[in-house]
Amino acid sequence: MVVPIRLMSRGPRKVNESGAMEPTAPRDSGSALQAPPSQAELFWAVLVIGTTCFGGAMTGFIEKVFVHDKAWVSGEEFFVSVEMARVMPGPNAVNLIVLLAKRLGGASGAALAFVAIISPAIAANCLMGELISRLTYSPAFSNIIVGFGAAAVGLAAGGSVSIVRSSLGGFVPILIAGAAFVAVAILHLNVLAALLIFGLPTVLGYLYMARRRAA
Amino acid sequence: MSDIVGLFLTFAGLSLLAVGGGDSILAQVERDVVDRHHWITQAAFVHLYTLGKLAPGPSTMYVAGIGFFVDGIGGAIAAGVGFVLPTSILVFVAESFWQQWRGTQWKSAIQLGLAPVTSGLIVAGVFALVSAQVSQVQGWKLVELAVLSIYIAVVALRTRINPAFLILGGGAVGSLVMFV
Repeated sequence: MVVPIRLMSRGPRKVNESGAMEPTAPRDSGSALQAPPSQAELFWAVLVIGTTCFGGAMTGFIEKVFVHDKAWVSGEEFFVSVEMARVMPGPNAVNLIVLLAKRLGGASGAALAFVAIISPAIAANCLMGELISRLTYSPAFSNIIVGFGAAAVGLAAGGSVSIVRSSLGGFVPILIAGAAFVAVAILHLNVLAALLIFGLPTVLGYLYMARRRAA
Repeated sequence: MSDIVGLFLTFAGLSLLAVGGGDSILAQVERDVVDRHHWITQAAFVHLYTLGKLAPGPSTMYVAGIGFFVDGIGGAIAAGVGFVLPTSILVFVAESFWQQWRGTQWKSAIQLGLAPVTSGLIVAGVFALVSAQVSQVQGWKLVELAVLSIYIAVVALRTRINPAFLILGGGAVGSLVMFV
């Protein structure tokens, strides 16, 4: 997804032979990167993010903790990780945490961070599931949940508009997006088929244009 | 037990299709859990999605609520972990190649080429939510809630208010509409 993010430009960092991070010289902000955290510190920091970040907009929150508060990664490293987290399939926030944790703590760090980022959300959603299964036959609760549903639909619609705006420019992309929408929403085409039918030719088209421009 | 395995495999497969982030497969998640596996009703789907917005952490973890509905805590873990484990392993492995890959034409072509189709898929997800919502209300209340949804969408676009607060505030107004 081509979503512009605010790039905090920071100086380059030093990388030792093993690829682990070393504290670097002061950056333009005047503060230095801190030494990489221990596994326990990393796990705890991610657990706090997973527990206290509400509303889904996690990238900014993760940036605050990893780049500004703890100074474990530079703004440039963070930007590269965000870009990759968005290109790769899967929820962006989880991808981002796995990438940052791998950089700071290797495979075990990434595994711990994976557990830390999803556990609070899984526990909370169990509570939500319990609430719904207990109260779904109560007329009062049904009214409340339908009322909240209207807000959730509005939020999803707003989010989709901002994504469409930032990633669609020109007639052909809009046509492809519209065709994919009709195929999936109205004609009930499978999402895998939609990606192959509408995504693959577009990717190859862009590749062809880039090659021709380069030649 | 078979439910737990089924939940894990279903969500693991879905996660690999989520090329535009978790919201791009919302329509497919709904179709799979409601129409194909008959795990939950369409109404329960939109209810779990809604309450999932009030949970902390990644918003796509509403799938754990679906898993919980099907098979308790084991089902929640199977669905939640299944939904992010394959993609996490993929991103972990791919990270080693990313620096060489990120400047290539292939990477830009994939990024640019998938943006239109994932935009369409994300809007299809919103359409699925709207259909589920519309099936639960009739008449003037539906109109009032639609106005509320549009208002929340505009506020979400124009301001930087935390989405959780928008759900709480909008939900309070929506509940009032339903009771009056």
